[in-house]
Amino acid sequence: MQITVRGLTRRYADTAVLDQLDLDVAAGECVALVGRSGAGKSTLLHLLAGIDQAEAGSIMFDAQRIDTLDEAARTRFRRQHLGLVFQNANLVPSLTALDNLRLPLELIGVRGAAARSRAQALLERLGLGELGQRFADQMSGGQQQRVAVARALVHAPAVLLADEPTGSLDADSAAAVMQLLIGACREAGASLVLVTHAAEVMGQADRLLRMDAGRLRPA
Amino acid sequence: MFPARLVAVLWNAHRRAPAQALLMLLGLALSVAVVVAIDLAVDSARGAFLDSRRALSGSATHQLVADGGAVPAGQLLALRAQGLWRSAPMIERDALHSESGTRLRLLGIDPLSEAALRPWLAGRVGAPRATTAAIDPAALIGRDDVALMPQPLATRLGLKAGDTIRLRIDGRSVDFTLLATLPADALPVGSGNWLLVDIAAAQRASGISGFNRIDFVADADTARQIAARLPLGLRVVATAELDGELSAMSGAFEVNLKALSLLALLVGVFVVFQTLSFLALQRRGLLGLLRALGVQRSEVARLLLGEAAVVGLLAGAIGIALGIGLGSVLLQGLARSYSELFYRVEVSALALSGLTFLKAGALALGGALLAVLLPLRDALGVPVLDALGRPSAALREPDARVQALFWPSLLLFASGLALIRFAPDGLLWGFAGLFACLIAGLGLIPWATRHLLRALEHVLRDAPVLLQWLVAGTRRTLGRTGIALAALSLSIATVIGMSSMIHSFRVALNGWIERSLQAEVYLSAGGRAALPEALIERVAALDGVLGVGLTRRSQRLAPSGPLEVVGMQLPERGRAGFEILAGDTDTLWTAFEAGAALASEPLATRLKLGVGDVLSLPTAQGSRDFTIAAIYRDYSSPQGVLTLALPQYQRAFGDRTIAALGLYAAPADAAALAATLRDWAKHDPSLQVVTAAEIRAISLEVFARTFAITDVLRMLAGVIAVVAVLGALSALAIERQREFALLRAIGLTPAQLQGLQLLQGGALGLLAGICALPLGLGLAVLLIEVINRRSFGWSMQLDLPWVQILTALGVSTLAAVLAAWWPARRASGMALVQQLRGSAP
Repeated sequence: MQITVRGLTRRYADTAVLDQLDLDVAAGECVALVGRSGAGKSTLLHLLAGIDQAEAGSIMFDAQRIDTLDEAARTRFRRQHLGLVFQNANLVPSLTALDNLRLPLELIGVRGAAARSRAQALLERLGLGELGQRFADQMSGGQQQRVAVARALVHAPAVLLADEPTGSLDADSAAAVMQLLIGACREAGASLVLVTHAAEVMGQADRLLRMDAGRLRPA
Repeated sequence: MFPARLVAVLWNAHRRAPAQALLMLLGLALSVAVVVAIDLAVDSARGAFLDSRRALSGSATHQLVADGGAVPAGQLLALRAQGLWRSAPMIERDALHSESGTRLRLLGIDPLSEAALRPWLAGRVGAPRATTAAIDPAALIGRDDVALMPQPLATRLGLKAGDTIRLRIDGRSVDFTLLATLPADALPVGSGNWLLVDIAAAQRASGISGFNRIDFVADADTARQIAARLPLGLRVVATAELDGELSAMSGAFEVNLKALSLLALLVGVFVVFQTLSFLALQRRGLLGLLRALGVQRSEVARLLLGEAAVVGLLAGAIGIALGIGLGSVLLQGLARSYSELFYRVEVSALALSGLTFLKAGALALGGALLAVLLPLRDALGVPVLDALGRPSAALREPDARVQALFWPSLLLFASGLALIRFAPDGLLWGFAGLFACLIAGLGLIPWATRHLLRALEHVLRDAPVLLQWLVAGTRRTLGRTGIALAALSLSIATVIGMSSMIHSFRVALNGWIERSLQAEVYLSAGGRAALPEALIERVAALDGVLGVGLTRRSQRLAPSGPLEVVGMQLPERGRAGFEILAGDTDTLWTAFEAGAALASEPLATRLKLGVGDVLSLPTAQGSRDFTIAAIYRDYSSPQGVLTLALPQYQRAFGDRTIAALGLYAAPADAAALAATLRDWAKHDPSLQVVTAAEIRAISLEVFARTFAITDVLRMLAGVIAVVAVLGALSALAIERQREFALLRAIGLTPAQLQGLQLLQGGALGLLAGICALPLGLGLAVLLIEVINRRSFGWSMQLDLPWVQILTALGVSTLAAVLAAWWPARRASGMALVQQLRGSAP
């Protein structure tokens, strides 16, 4: 799914965090966003995910413009086409890892045994099978993030949005999560927009963009 | 003292998110209000009664009274012959003001004797409003058609001097002319709806020859000497003792009401406990940060204790103000219950009591400080590093508390049961055991709920994940919601328990009334007046009358206090009206005719009488022992009744009057019989005719009024519990906002999230109801088998009001859904980005 962003502006009080920002992400492309703290990387990701709204500009996923949709419609679009990974506390704490994966499937109408076997299969394929019955507080931070990646992928979204997914992990865990995230995206042919500070991640992306003064430029 | 900035930290936190603090204040204030209202209303009613007694007794130290009749007029002369000039006769009679329906008390006095005992009657009596002329009470002497009345009462009835006061006394019409009004400032505290007439006028109006009593002043020795010389049937009683005995009659009723109000307070304290527990958890990071900055544990402790104290004091002040309003609303209903059940109470305004306010303040402050102890221990027990660490680490701790509370609660429950079963047979021990069981229930309910939810999770393991999330989330947050759930359960259990007890009582009362009212029509002379013998014969000869029962009822002064004694002559059919609870039904009626007595169940309980025991009563022949042949069910008097065969009664007390008849007839003839008697009553207004159906209706009305106050209290306890649930759910919504945001980010719409939260609220309400069911039924059994028996001596079968129980469950579910609505709406309406960052307010 191709992403087209034009003239996106988002202000907090008098400060324009995003200022007439443009972005194009091709289908299956992996784009890494870098920049200093507070530059607006997460804000852009939130706008792409439809969980925040811009003052001006447009966001298109293929031919579907999402910034003009109401919240319920944006939510339906998100559950169908997007996968999200946050920096931490990604998992619903009162559900097991397996049930965390079943949840997005059920939201798009895949229920019962079909959802269970699909979720279990993905966990197995990603080498996380033994974590299926664990709750978040029974896993390490790295394990939680890898399950979060699996959950973001389980309903085969066209686009993955990841907001510093390794920000709170040690180097080894971060490498494992990033390898899983980028590898799985490439395998599924999904686009990936990734906010990161990790230098080693930058080399694995197709394109590296720096957020500066509310706009993007090649890094 | 601690730095002002520390106070600012908490103050600012409350200012930014005031809902929790406000709900906590509301919960505690409402419960304090219930305690204050009941205390003030009960104390005002009892105080008004005692004030009224004191006002009417004046400075009299003793009273000369007759056992069930009038004191002969010659006794006044006899007393004075012994030098007791400070003595005055009195006649008291209930009267009804015909035009307004106001209940009055007719007081017959001897104005010339009053100066010695009741100076307020000897002073200047206010003239009619238009004049300034003084009127001496002596103006009443020799005039049997004039009366004096307090000015406030006259104003209320729209009467002025010279107006006619039309009264009904024992069914008869009697007119007086208002001679003058008594100015309010000339009346003693406790004066009420009094109508003062000359004693001769009172004798004429009430048909009494002699007096109700003679009040006099004497030292204890003199009183004893007088008592020793009195003829049989008369006795001397100390005024203070009599007041004490009378006010003790309502003691159990008052203990019941006050216990119910303390139950509301208990729920309120748990609201505070729950909120403070939540705040302690929410502030882990903040307190950790403060301690990392160098704030001492003791300073944190003082800060949190100070906060609880402020909550307690504020809630106490608000509760007192609300309680005064609520008490005023409850007062008239309560006074009516007192009048119908125990003794006449006239009270117009709530008497405010500093002691009650002090007690309310202490309860609120003590409750809040008690509620903060455990949260305080939690807050101080966490190492600084942990407090600053991951919030998820705290998730399992409250769950551990649910488990930790189980064994102590079970032990407390068992202790409560042991207290009820083995402790001395007093009402307070019964309530102590009951409260122990209820408090234990608060600890057991979260544990039971956790297991119920675990079982439900097992059942739902293949259900949609969101449903599993709902159940699992509810279970995992029980540490937070458990107390609110328990408070709601306790409130529903109270509703179920009280409703079951009241319903059982109503069913038992209905059955008792049906059984007792064997006759179709009842005819009475009203009060203590007698039915003429000729009339009795004429009635017995009426067409359709199959049998006549004769009754005489009087108040006797037994060594144990006032006692109602009934003399009865019943046709064979009338005996079926007695439900015998103990005694040999084959032989008891023979023994009854031969002089044995039947004791009502409350009397037997109160005096600890069994079949074969003996009760001594003063009679015309001196003290006489009556053997108890049987104990029968009776709900007419909490004090109890002793029933004798009429000839035995007449022989014992020398009282040959018949005050009431029960006419036995075929049901089809009852209406015609009542119509005939009512025709006769037109010519003789003292006759009162009432059918069995009318008695049944009046009895059930009195029953409904008596329990009206408990309805108000149950409703308030319910409101406090809903506040608890609202507090718990909004706390939960704040705590889980990151989780909710995550679900919305994954693809849950705001409406879906709101729906899930409402479902969770409803599930909590239903769970509270399910847990309340066994607790409520247990409470009903305790109320019926322990509290009612010990309070009033009444026994009854448990009869469950299933419609009310199911309604209570429905209402609890609905109340919890409503309580969930606001936090759900708030959570789903928040900006998702802020929620994800955890910065939503």
